[in-house]
Order: sequence, then C-alpha cells, then structure tokens
Amino acid sequence: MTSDSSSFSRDIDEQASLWAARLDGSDLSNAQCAELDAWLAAAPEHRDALAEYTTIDAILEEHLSADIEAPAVALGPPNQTAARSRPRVGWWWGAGLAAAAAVVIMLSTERPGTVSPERIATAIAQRQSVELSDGTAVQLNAHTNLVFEATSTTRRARLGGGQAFFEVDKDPDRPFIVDTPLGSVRVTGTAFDISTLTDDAITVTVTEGSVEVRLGEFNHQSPVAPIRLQAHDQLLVSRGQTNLRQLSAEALADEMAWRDGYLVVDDMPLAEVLVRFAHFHGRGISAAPDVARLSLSGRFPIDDLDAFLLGIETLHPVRVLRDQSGTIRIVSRS
Amino acid sequence: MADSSSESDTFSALYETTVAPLKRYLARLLGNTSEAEEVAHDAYMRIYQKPAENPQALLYTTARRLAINRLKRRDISPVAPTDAGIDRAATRTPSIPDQVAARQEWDLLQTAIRDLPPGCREVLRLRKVELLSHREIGEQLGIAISTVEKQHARALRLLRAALPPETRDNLFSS
Repeated sequence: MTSDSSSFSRDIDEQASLWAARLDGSDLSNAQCAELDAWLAAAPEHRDALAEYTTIDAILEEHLSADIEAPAVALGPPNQTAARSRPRVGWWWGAGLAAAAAVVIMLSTERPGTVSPERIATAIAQRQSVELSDGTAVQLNAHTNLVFEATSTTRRARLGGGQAFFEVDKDPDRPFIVDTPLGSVRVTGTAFDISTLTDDAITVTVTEGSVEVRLGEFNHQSPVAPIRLQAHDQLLVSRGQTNLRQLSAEALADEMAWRDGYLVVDDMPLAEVLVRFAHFHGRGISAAPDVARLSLSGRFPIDDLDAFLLGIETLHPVRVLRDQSGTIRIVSRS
Repeated sequence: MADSSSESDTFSALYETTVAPLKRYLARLLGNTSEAEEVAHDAYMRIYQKPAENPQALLYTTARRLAINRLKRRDISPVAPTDAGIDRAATRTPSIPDQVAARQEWDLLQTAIRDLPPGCREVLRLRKVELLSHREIGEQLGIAISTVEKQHARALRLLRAALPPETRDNLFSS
C-alpha cells in the first residue's frame, strides 16, 4: 500500500469504514452489495481505503479480545494469582507485546497432563533459548513467536513467523508437531530447524533424526502427501514450489550459524540475504530489481546491520538509501 | 455444574473432553485443519475464566461465531484483488504481524482503544469480544442497526487515525 493511503478524503474515509463495518457485522442485502460494487468501481482509492479498514477490522477481532475487556474479573478464589490477566491468543502480535524480552506466560496453573499453552516471543534483534515444559530445547531467532501446548497425547507448537531450532525429547507416545501457516512438521525425537521469514516461504532443516512435513493448504489447495526428511535434508518451500536437497556437513553448519549470531551465505541473491536481515531487525529492507540478484557470499554478524550495509556498499556497485521511517533500500550506484 | 473453586480444573476438564470434537467440527466448517486449530485455540482463550452456566455451549457458540467471521473474511478478500496485503489479511492474519514488531505500535492501538468514546467502544467490544452481530448489538443496546454500523465504523476510523502513517504502512504494506 502506498503512503497516499494515509490521506483519503473525509468522504472516502467515512464510506470505507462504514462498508468495512457492515461487511464484518451485518449481512449485506442484494441492494447493498450492488451499492458497494458501484462505490468500489467509482474510484480506485475506494478499494484501497476499504482494504485498509477491513484489515484493521480483522486485526481487532484476532487481537483485542483480551485488551478491551476489563482485566481483573476476579472469578476464582483470591489465591489464583496465575490468572492475573487473560493471556492473549493473538500470538502473531507476540513480538510486539513482548518487545522488552522473551517471556513465557502460563495459561492455567501448571498441572501435568492438563492444558498448558506456553507463549514465547522474541523481540527484534534478539535471540533466546528456552526449555519447553516437555523438556524440548528451543532456540528462537529474532522476531519469532511460538505457542506450545502439551496434552497427554500430543505436543504441539505453533510457529508464527520467524525461525526456531528444536531439540525434541523422544516420546513416541506424544508426537511433537510444529504448525506453521504453511503446514506442519511432525517428529518424535529429533533436532531440526524451521524458518518462515515471509508468509509464503518455509525452510525445514534437519540436523538429527527425521521429521515428517505436511504442507498445508496453500490458498486452499488440497494438502500434498507428507514429505519425510532425514538428517542433513533441507526442504525449501516458496510460493508453492517445493525443493528438497541434501546438505553437506559444512553447509548444514552454515545454515545453523544463526544460533551463534551469524548469517552464513554462499552465492545467495542479495534480496534473499536482505529478507534475513530485515526479519532479524524488524525493518523494511529491500533491493531495487536490478540489484536484487546480486550474488553474495560471506559470514555476517547478523546483529550488525550497519556493518553489513557498509560492506556491500564497499564491495558492490550499490548505494544504501535510508528514509526517515527507518526503511532501507538498496539501489544500483550508477 | 462444578463450583468456581476449581476454576482451572474445570477448564482443563472441559478442554480435554471437547478439544477433539470441537476441532473436527471447526474443520468441517472451515474446510481445513490448520484454521480449525487456530479458531479452537482462540475460542478456548476467550471462554477461559468467563462465567457460564454451560461452558461447553458457550465454547461452541464462540467457536462457531469465530469460524463464521473467518468465512466472511474469505468472502471479503476479493475486495482488493490487486493488493496482496489485504488478501492475506482478510483470510489469514498471520502475515500482518510479520510487519508489526515494535511495541509502540501495539501501545498506540491499546491507548486508542481506551480513548474511544464509550458508545463506540461498547459496540466494538460487543462485536469483537462478545462476537455479536450488528443486529444482536442493536437489540441488546436498544439502538438501530444503522447506529451500530456507524459506531463500529467510527471506531475503525478513530483507531486508524490514532496510528501514525508510518505505522500504518507497517501494518498494511507487504
């Protein structure tokens, strides 16, 4: 969306917000549908405005349930301090909520065998190691959200964007499943990495044992057969294309270098490298089309964005442009 | 019905007995299991600690309403065919928060919600937390549906206006 969108006229603003409200909370009559179509057809910015408002509206349902309510409803006995505030279900917002530090919020009192969702979120430019209640060790890269829930029959983690490395305790009776927007990964006991930095791409890398990946419904397509990965296998899924490859020990170590704070790349297009920096630092960083394919190789400390940018400016014919909002764009120097 | 002294036990028991059938029910409604998981999770969070004579009925009602809202948003998504942003937002919220990292943005929104005029805020709460339709809200508050729509729309405008443009770009750009 362009920055024009902040300056809709008052009339467009009122119409768009009203249509967004109606679309959400009412059932449009046929006459209203026709009216909406006509209004949308009248000017392209009508569509942009409506899109903004339906987005805001959708965000509100997913994320505001906990906030808009008066917090202390105090239903239980006074000693139930565990229920101070309702944990929010909107884990996609987790990074923002927990910006100060990675946090773990228990939903209910901890009792073995009962529901116990754990929420873990890392802020931008931070990594964090945690141990889940089942003993699984997880390392989270920056800007990553994870919700974990264990029952007597399954262990289920939801990865909402970001990257995490799991060392799963073996428990054949309780498979460990990681759900992502693009599909799920099922294991019993193994060590593997999942990265989903953009919402149309996921990478699963196995360092030990084996996992089974079930890709979900991309745009409501029917699910594909499970894909089994062994140690050293890496599955890349991007925009519906899947690609399975085997990594050498060295390449595997490179892939896992983020856990030590490094991004190691070998002949990777600039645009892809930028996705990783952008995700880690929570900033918009993009490359102009004519430099996006520029090939990079190297070992970059991921914390140090400025050093990286200075480096590519020095070594390649590119220029780094920064605007006031902190967005970075890399363009050709010519 | 169990007394409230064992609030969390009750919740756990409810969860254990309902989670599998609820997810199946939602999967049928939504046509896929991953969204069913999300909605189920959301529904449990919403009813957790909520007083109810029949928690299971409340759970199912809540889950059903959440699922229907999702189905509705799928229908809305073609509204912006040229813009991948809204398409994803309308059907699958995960992508948006990828862009939303900074705590200030969340705080701004929270403050803006607190500052909404009471009527506006109540309509928003009934719609987004209680999941009532505009018609039901109108009945409950004794006001016309058109008034409910206007208050809802006004809440959206005020919240949007409370976010500075660069934050909005973060929310909406891809």
